[in-house]
Amino acid sequence: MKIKINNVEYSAKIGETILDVCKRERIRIPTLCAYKNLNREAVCRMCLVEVNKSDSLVTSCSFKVCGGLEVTTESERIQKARKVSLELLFADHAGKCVKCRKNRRCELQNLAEENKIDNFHFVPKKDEIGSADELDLLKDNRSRLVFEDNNRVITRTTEYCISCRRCVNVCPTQEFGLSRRAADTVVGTPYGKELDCIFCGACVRACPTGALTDHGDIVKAQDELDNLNKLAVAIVDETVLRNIADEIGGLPAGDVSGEVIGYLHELGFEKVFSLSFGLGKWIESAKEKMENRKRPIISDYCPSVAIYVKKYFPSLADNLLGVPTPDDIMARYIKNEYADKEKIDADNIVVISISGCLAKRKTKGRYLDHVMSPSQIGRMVRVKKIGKVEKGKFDHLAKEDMHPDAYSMNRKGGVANALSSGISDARAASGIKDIKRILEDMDRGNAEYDFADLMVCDGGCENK
Amino acid sequence: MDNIKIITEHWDKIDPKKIADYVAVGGYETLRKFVCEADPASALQEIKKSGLLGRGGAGFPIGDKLELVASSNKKEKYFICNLDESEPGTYKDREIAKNNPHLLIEGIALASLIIGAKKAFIYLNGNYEEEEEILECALSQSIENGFIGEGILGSEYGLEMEVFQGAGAYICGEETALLNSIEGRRGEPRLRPPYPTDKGLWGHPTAIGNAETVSNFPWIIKNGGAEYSRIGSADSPGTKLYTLGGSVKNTGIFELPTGISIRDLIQKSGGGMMLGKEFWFAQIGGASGRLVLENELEEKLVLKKGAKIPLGSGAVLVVDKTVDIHDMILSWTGFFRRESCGKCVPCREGTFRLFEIAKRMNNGKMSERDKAAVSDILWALENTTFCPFGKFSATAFRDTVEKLNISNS
Ligand SMILES: Cc1cc2nc3c(=O)[nH]c(=O)nc-3n(C[C@H](O)[C@H](O)[C@H](O)COP(=O)(O)O)c2cc1C
Ligand code: SF4
Ligand code: FES
Repeated sequence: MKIKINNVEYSAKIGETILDVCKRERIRIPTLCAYKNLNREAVCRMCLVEVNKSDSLVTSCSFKVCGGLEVTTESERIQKARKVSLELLFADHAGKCVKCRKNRRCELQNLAEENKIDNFHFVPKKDEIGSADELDLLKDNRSRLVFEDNNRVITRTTEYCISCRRCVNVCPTQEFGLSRRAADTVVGTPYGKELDCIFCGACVRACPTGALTDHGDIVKAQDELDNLNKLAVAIVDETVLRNIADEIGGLPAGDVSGEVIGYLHELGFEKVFSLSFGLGKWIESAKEKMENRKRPIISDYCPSVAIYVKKYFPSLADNLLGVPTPDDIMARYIKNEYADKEKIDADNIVVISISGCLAKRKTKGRYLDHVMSPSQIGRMVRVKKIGKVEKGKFDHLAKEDMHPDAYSMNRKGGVANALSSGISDARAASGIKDIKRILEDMDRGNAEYDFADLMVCDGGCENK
Repeated sequence: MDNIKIITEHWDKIDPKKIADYVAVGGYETLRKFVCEADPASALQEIKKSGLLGRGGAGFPIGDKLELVASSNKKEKYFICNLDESEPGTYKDREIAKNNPHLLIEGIALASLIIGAKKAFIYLNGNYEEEEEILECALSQSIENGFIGEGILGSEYGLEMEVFQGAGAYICGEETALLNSIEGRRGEPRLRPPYPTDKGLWGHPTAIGNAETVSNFPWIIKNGGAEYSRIGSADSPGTKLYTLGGSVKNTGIFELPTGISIRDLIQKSGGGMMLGKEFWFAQIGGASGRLVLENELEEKLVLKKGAKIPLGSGAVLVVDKTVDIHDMILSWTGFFRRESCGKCVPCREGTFRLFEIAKRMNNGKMSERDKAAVSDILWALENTTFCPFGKFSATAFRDTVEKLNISNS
């Protein structure tokens, strides 16, 4: 069908929303709550547009196209709607950016800048407040704050939460929900319990603000990096370098590996090793393990799968492959073989894996000191105000440290492919829905295959 | 027909806990006739002919709504009677439940059978404890007497009916939030479409009607839609239960035809102002209703969509000049700041900020900054929220600012 957007004709398909069409046609509509293909909740009201079918503004994220539809995406009314909503969100948000982990990486902050939010008239200025009682009225001062980082992987701070519900909708195991109502609404776990999930990190990736971030004691890591008595070693997957570059910002498109390694050196990493070494070792070790493992084997290359199976299908825990992550294997190698060879005391080596996979932090063994995300690296670069750097190169643990199958392992079915010599028939799945189906099948004893290659992130490993 | 009573007719003559009293005044006769004749289509036609508009506030023709569900060929359908009634100053539905529960039950049964529902719910305000007891008692008596349940009065018809008590949230009166509440989800409105008539309770076609609306059904089906349509105002016919409160001599529930003027309601039913009290303004339709001044008292009370002064739930609050307007503003803004479901940004944050500003008000006076803020917030509430709650929460504040001139005094 044909519809008109800002007086230009476009074709649209039945079932599409105005936002879907605009995204495809690159017509800018600001959004906060709409995320990927999740349930459209239409709660942020950022995407309001005018249509010829209604006198009121409608949310483009939920309004389905129909024949003869005419849409206007910019007008004074639309601008005002966005501005007031943003100002309302900012009324108890402003001034917190500087100490926020997502500073300069926050969708709310970006929208505020794009829409030139500079009016904070919902909150009185200091000299306009008559008494302490009036100060108490301010939303900020009321204790609806939930802060939790006991789980060591994900930090939750409702202080920054804008109740967009992305986390509620994206979480594969439905850990989040809403409690209380009106301005007291809190997005969190049932009864405020400590988060105890499979740590796939989908919520952290989805959260537009600093309400859900990856836990990380950057200060401690930075101390260790700055400590001249310690050898700081980075393990990083080559595909992750691009994500680090994006988090640092200001780097050109294309291959910037040299620059990123340069930044890592600047941050205090004396050595930067490619994860490919660990991937190769992982394949070797997996092949060995498989020989006397209970079949069907469940791959735990994805550490979230391991947590998931133990939590929801404990009877299948023995079917897990049981090989530590490539990062763990590599850290162990560095602290043993490598340390011996270089004659360094293992206690003086700090091994940090840079990976977007949060579950690795939950499952990591004792050899791996920290797992840091690309966004944390980006933040450290910004904090240290590192400018231009000299290009660097990977260091090598062995002459040949690249296994031919290593790089396809993050794809759905890649693990089964890399281990194919020991498998007669494999099933591959990514995303909780499919994983659950396979595990249920297995639990009932219906599995006719001997290997299940499972990954929690939809469409393959999101290790970025 | 000016003093015709349809709903309140037997109120003080029957014992709500005795079904025999209701049957003695002709109660359940319409239901009996309905199941004997087994002609739901013509019953529906009578409802449509009556022109009855929903009494829950939105004023949608109930016949059209029922027809949408009746014409669906899906097997599982529901009827829900909305008795959440949480609009401040409104208590007509609870009086129906309390004084003549069987009239309500008969009305619900008729509505359900017309659409082909096998199960009906009465969604009852969580604070209505006495009413719950009365309704449960009445329901079990009507089941014992074969009016509700399998094979109603020996016919092919069957209907299960259940009282479902909410948690007393205002937003759960909004029909899609109500559905969420029954389904055990968070009480907040759903996106539309799909409409409840298409995908309602647990995804099945569902008609939702206010308690007063369905209480008219027995009379309409018995006396004919044409007869009903001659009562009151032509564009929203029938009688209406007005909840009159405030500084008038007689307060309470009054059943009067639609289309009467506000002045008549205050003078004739309310007996005029209380001694020594001078009229300032009246609020029509509860806390979410508009304010009318002396010069607007000739305005007719009608339910039609787009009426200048929406009648809403039918509450009329008369305010005299001794009332502290700041107290009223605090009570309005406090109510909406508490009752917002918190789903959408402008309502969740806007109602909160409005309440803050109200608290900061000094004898009704606002700082220039707050005036600008109020203007933005009211606009956002009126134009950008997820559901009509936003508009509701802005109405009285806007009229206060624009009509009462308090901030300049
Ligand atoms: C915020 C809000 C609160 C409402 N509260 C009630 C209520 O308490 N009782 C009611 O009958 N309708 C209430 N309604 C209207 C219902 O959504 C719905 O229109 C009504 O129950 C339909 O019945 P009717 O057609 O008989 O009026 C409310 C609507 C909104 C938006
Ligand atoms: S925590 Fe983040 S993703 Fe979840 S509702 Fe709050 S702002 Fe949205
Ligand atoms: S993106 Fe449409 S309302 Fe949030």
